[in-house]
Amino acid sequence: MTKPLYWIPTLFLPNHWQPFYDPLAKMFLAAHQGRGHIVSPQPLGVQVPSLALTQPQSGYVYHVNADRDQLPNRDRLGVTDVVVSCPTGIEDTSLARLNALYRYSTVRRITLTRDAPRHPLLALSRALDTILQSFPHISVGIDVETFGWDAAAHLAQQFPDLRLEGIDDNQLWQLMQLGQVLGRTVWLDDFSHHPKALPPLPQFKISDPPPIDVHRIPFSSRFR
Amino acid sequence: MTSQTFPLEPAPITGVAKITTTRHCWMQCRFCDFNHFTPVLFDTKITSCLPLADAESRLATMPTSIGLIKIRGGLSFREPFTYFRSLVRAVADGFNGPIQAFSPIEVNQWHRVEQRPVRELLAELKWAGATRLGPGGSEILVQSWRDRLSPYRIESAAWENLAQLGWETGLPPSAMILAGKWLSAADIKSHLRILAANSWHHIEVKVFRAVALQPELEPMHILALCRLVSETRETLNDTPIYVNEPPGGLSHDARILLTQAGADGFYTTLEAIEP
Repeated sequence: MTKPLYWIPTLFLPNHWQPFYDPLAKMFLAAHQGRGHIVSPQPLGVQVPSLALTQPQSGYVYHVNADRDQLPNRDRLGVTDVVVSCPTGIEDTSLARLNALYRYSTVRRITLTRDAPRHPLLALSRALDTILQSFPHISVGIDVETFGWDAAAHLAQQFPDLRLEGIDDNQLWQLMQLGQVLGRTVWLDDFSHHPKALPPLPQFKISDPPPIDVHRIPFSSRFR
Repeated sequence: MTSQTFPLEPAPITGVAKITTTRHCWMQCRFCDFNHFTPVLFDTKITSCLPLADAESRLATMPTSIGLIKIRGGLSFREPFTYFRSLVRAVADGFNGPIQAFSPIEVNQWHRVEQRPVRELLAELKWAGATRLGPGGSEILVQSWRDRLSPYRIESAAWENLAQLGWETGLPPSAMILAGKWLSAADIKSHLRILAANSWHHIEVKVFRAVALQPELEPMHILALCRLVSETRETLNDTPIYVNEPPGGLSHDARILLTQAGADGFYTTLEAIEP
């Protein structure tokens, strides 16, 4: 039994709150059959299945970018979703940041990003191996937008537990093709765990050639 | 979960200048870009072959990073063999590197149309300055696929015999596999078995690019391409394998994955000289 691939459509709402974010979130969920993860600056007025906030607030998951955000007081951190640049060695600063968050909060998920010139494929492969072994109880994902599809496809093949994130609606076909090559089904899901299987890509049969008249070469006005 | 080792840098990338002599071709292979649909309207300009003067002026301004010149042509009845020979001559006058000129398919066309012996044609190409024969015609050697995608091609066996004549003349022949999604594992195996029966200067793995209006002809996924390259490496273990990149080029990661799978180099088109 092979593990399925998950497509988690994500809506990022910018930090400056606008009143149309509520209907926007509703439209986003309606467009994805009631599934989808939403990252918002404050709680929404509508019921959503999967939500994380970019500002820490008790009772909500805190979505923190460890490379960019100023960390708040330790006691205000609760459960966190961490986005961090992939640490590749013991002296990496992103490892120190991840470690600080791990000590003072309950890390629910880690999403790794790639800094292409600093992260060759060799380093990523080894780093992911180490991270997946070090945090077996945390769901680890990679950001496909920064990793690139070629690297992401290879890493998904090498590490079946890896989550692929940051896949836009118009990139879904790439995930479907990856699923086809790896022989894994693709499910639409968010972090509330009520997945729905996606139908496979359409298959086109290669049609039969036109009948050949063996006494003529195929001439037409286009072929002189 | 096991970590793998990868090369830090991909195999060498050769810049290619691709010269198209004429885009007219009667063969109608469904995967070929000479087969693109062009509507015929009353004022449609039908471009003729590439003039020698154009080719010379374009070659004079070519970037210096080019390591290989490929010359190809459609199968047209209008241009004589001497036109193609002069073009190779003009190219060879201004370039010191290898020139991969035409393929057994074009040689067969000249042989049939001009009624001249194949060995003579090959010797004249060699005299004009060509250094090797291209892999054209070996895209698909599996008979069931040839029937469907390129029914007007010469038989696989005839193609191979013609290509092997290149060794006698000093034009080492090369072969190819077209990496399309339609190939099953058994197809790839039988294609490689046919190739392994003869010797080749190098093998090109041509990354297929989707053709307009033909949704059933799809390019291969990068992971399937890696499997194809490693299988080619296992079957033909002492022949160099070059991956022929599609027009957009491959990503750095893809090149590293293919190098790990066994590719010896990459061909990237830097300059396309069209009629």
